[in-house]
Amino acid sequence: MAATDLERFSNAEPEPRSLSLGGHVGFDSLPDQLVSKSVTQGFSFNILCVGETGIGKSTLMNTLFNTTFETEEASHHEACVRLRPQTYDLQESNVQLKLTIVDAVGFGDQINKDERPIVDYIDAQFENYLQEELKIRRSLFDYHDTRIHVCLYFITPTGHSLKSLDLVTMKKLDSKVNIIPIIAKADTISKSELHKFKIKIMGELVSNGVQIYQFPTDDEAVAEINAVMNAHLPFAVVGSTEEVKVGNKLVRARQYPWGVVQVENENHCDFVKLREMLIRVNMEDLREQTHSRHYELYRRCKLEEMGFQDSDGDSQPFSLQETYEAKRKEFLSELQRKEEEMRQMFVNKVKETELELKEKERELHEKFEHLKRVHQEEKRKVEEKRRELEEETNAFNRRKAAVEALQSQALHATSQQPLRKDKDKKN
Amino acid sequence: MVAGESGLGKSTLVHSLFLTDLYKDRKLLSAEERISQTVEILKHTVDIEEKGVKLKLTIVDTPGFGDAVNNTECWKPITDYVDQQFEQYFRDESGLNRKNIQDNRVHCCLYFISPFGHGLRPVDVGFMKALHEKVNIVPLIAKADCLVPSEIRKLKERIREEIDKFGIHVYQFPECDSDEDEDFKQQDRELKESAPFAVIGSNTVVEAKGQRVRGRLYPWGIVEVENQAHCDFVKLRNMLIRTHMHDLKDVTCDVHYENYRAHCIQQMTSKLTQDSRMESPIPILPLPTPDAETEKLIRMK
Repeated sequence: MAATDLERFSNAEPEPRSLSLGGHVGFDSLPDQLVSKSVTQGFSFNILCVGETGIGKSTLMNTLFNTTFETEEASHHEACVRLRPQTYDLQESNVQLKLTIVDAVGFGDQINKDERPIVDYIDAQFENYLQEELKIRRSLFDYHDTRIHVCLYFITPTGHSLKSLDLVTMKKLDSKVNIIPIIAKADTISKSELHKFKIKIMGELVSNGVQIYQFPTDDEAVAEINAVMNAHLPFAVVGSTEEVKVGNKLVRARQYPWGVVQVENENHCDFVKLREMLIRVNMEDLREQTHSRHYELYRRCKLEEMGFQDSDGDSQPFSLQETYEAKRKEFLSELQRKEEEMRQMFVNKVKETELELKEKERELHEKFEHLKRVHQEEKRKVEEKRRELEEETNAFNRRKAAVEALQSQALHATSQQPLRKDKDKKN
Repeated sequence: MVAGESGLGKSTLVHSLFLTDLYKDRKLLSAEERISQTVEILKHTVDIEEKGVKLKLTIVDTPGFGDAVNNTECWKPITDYVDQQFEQYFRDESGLNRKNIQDNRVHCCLYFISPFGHGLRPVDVGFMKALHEKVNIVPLIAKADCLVPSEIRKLKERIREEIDKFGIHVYQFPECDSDEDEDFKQQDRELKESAPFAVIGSNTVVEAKGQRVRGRLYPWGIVEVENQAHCDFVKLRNMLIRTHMHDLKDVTCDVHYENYRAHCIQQMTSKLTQDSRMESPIPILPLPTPDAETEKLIRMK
């Protein structure tokens, strides 16, 4: 009876009623508490820059964050793609940012191009986080989150279309990380060419099913601006850390013999748009997407691989504990079974070998017997022959004796005979 | 011959150089089609005439070079093509009727280096090393309108260093005679110092300072292709067409072709001394083994 009562309670949870307050309580300061807590905690953000060597990744980072991250120029002759993460602590007003920039060094330089190191790196970061989450004593609060929040993919401004390596890489990365494609060194493309190029790129991405990061349009505050920006993807950017005097101000720009390309001039390039979108508006959303979408996907795949399920046939959710126990038992029984099998196999093999040996023994025995018989046979024959021979010799001897006797008789007779003959002759 | 990765402006430059459009109906492949593309060789031959002087120009294009994900030995079709032209000439030269030999040998190879990197890439080095003994290589820095003058200087130095380091023999401009006038010598010096040329090409004519010039229109300015301060296009054009065309042909004839011929004959004679008794069977023509006629000729020689 108590059980059914409990059931009724848990199933028939009443709808929470909304009440109006009589006066000021003060929990409207919750957002402020959250803000101050976050500020003291500090934020971390991880950017992965993927693009050919020399395409302007480091310069763009310097331009975006208005500082100089010390990196040496990479060489074109790296044997394989290396990922080089570097962490910096930045501070603006009283907000601290732990920025990690991961550079894909040597990408696209080899004769036989390879994008797997990048995918492996991203997976490794997810794995580290998963391990931390699954620990018994864990400290997610303190954990330095190294998961990549955004991947800036630098497209070479050929003016025609994406390169084959770009397509292959983006396809592999789109389910693991937020990709924002950027057209690098955009001061090489004229306005009309740029328009065509952007359309071509987006067309190719769509037709190949590559999901790039779309700025979120569900939050009212930023929906409008995000929708507008979504239409300008991919951003064509120019980076520069040098300052040039234009008019009477010093602006960051590139000075050419035929003109000056200003980085922050919206007419010249989309740098300002990129900065807005990446840092000022959507940074938090990027982090969240990474955690709630990409990381969850990775986690699910990984755990499913290990054999966990979310619910069995009776739709009773398994707890991790139970699943773990079940898995363990399964594993142990599997182990035992395998041992048995092996033992059985061993015994069988021993029997077989024994049988074989016995068989051989028997054969040998038979042969021996056979030979013995043959030998006996031969012996007998030989005996017979000997007997025959003996008989013959005996017979021969007797005849010989007989003949000799006859001979002696005959001799006797003839010795008389010749006398008679002589007498006859004489007569 | 023009060679280099897709999208570096090869066809645009050819257009600007010879002021004729050879690529009217060209179909460019999309990225997915290029993942495992092989290199093709396309020949465009045009007869152009200027003031009574006729020129039969053949542009050999190499679409697909360096485009695939795996580019191992992607220069092989190109070396095969160059060898094939040499072999053809060799056979013609050894033939009986030598009146109308068509010289299809590649006189000059314009190799486009990407300006977006820090220097030569492995595929560039591989290509040049495979071809430097067979054809005159003129390296160019493509799309130079993405580099400011200081960057251009740095890149040129870098490339020159790397060419030396890897032992690549690019086309060297001949020394000018000591009795030429100063102007000419100065020009020649400038020419040598600005190799590899940083070029910009354009198909369009734009309005700049009241004049119609060939150039590219940007929101921040107009790049004039024929302005020496903007790029080395004029130097390239002068060198290729106006002053050094004959020298390029001579070097191809005297150096590269002779190398090929000597190499070929050597191979033949060494093979013949190996199997001097056996009549070597007539092979069905895969290059570069020449056929029985040529063999007999060589033996006679």
